[in-house]
Amino acid sequence: MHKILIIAQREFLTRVRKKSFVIMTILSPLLLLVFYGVIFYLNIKKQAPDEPISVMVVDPTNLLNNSLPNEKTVFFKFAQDSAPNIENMLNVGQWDLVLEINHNKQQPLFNLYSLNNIGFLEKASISNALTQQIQQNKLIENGISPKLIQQINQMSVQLNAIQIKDHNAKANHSEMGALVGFIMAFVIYLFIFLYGVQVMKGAIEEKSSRIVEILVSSIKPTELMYGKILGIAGVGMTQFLIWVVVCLGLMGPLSGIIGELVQTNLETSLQSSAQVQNLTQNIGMEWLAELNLPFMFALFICYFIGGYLFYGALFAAVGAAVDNDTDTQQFMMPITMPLVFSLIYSQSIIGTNPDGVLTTFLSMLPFTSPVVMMVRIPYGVPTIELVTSLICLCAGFMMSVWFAGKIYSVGLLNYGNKTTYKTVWKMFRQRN
Amino acid sequence: MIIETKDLNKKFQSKQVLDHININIPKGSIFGLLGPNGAGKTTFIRLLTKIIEPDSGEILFEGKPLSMSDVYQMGYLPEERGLYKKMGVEEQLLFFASLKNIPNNQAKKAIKNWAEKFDLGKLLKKPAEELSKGMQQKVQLMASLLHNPKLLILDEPFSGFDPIHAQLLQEEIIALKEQGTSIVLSSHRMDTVEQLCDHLALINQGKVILDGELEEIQKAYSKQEWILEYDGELPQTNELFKIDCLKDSKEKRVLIKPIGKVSLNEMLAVLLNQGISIKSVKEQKPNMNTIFIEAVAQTQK
Repeated sequence: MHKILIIAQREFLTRVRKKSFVIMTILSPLLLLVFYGVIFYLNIKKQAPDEPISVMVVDPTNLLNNSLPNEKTVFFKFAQDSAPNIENMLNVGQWDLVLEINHNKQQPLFNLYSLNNIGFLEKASISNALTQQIQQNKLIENGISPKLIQQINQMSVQLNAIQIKDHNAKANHSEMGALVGFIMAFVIYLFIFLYGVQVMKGAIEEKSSRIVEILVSSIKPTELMYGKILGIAGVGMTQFLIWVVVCLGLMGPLSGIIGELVQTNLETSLQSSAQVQNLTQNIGMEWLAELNLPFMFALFICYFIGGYLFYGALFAAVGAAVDNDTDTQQFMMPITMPLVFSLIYSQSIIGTNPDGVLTTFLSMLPFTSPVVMMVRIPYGVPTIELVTSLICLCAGFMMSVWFAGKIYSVGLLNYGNKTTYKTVWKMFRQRN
Repeated sequence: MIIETKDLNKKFQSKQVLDHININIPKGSIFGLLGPNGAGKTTFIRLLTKIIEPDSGEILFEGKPLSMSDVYQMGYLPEERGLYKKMGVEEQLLFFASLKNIPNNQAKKAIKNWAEKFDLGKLLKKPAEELSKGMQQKVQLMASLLHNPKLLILDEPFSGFDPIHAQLLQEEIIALKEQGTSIVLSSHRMDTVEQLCDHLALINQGKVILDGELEEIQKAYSKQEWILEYDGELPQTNELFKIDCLKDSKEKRVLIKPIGKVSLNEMLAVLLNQGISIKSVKEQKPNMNTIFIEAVAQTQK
């Protein structure tokens, strides 16, 4: 154990002392902030374009009764001429688009002409306006009053999800909780990837610099591997804790700014203060209190460490088996696939049944449980399932450490040979 | 004996890498471990350092079964060796020392002493990648010497050293031997082995094909050829022996090779009878290179 700690200490100190570590630890949250800030800014800016797109509508059969509701981004005008030269109209530059309606046959045809590519959102806005207008015309034709139609259009339903637990009815905000779970799952995914690869690179470095034989004459290869995994985990935890502290520090001033921006943005997009109030009430901080954050955080740490150990050992085995970085590609794929899959799958859990058979199975499997289970937890997972999942993860990392240890012991001293799956299998079976 | 091995066997997959190896390494000697590439030398060394375990057989260290604490009393300079490139020289030496359970203070003192000896004092704080290859080799050697090992195992220690540094290393090996350190030296440089080693073992295809004191081995491979310094005119033809000119020879120095079983006295009698004055006669010992090639060729027949 003493020697494992010596190795871990070296791994930790050499990495933490690097300038790149200090720079990345400080820069990463800032870069992330800038990244999301830019997205947020662009989003807001897109909602309020400088000038709406102008569309000339050519409707010779008067299908729309000379009426089409203007959208925020699109402005319509009906042509007086029943057969104008469309190309000319566009070339003059007075109109961005020309919408031609052909109603000679039973089914009306709508053609949208432009000189440039038509944006997806503009197309959707125009289509939306057309549908709305045609529906409205049909309703009026069938004797429904325009006032009633307007009332119908403005109707909206607020659905309150209520969960009855232990004879108590409580509002259910699990979607927001799942979002927090997903963020945590994403951090686990990122951590496993970033630091798992570092474990692998560390093993390759020791192998390619031929230092490993000096080391293994003083320490067992498996101990060397444990020390490496432990030391790099320490680096990751340190970086993560610094980020948490920085984020908590920034949260106060930032939440004020974001809150203000969201409020302004919602008001412009929804155009009704009542709706804004309704919506902000819905996404209020009530859910945060219900979330049992300490419990989630404790589980996050468990899955964080368990997942890292499980994958870290596999990454270490790859590093020990190969001679250089290029040889790692073929072995990285099968290791990273379940990890990438679990993250993609997790996104689908938010909004669907979190207790489905496949989801439950994936939250037990050590390959996927660190990510999938984190997203399930806010929905409420039965204790038995949680315990089973953690036991499976524990057994999983013991297996992966045992497997990796065997590869590590043999692979580290195996130089100059091309590594294939066959050679890895031989390494696994070889008695050291 | 510092090391005794008894019927050591090691197999990798289906290949028998070491086959019933019995080698005794005397205390305080320089023991040469020779063999062609792939003979099993490195595997043998890895067994001595417990990096790998034998399939069967036993290794004794000072008469007792080899344990990990014995390995800590060994210094090992592997053939495949390197340093952490970005790590400072002193820092990594301290790291290696801590893995050998040497207290920090003691390690610092040892580093200072060896650094002075190897002229590395000013480079201790520098990262290893800033050192020349020769200097890096010295650091690697230092790492194997910091704990004053009882047994020093050097696997191809001269590879990568220029002639000046190789000479320095050679002198250091002799000095260590004089201080009582037992040394195992695996090398392809036969001239060095000849100069340094008292005992040696030659391994080929996993088997020991030659083992013993250097002088004894040379005697066993002796062809009874003699270097003769003389005065007068040598006979052109002769039934008892052949006369070869020595490449580096001055005029009156030749190599005489007996034809069949002819003793030195018989050959000298012939020469004296012909009025040749003999200044000196010295046995031409077979060099290790010849012995190596001959012994390996014999086993491959």
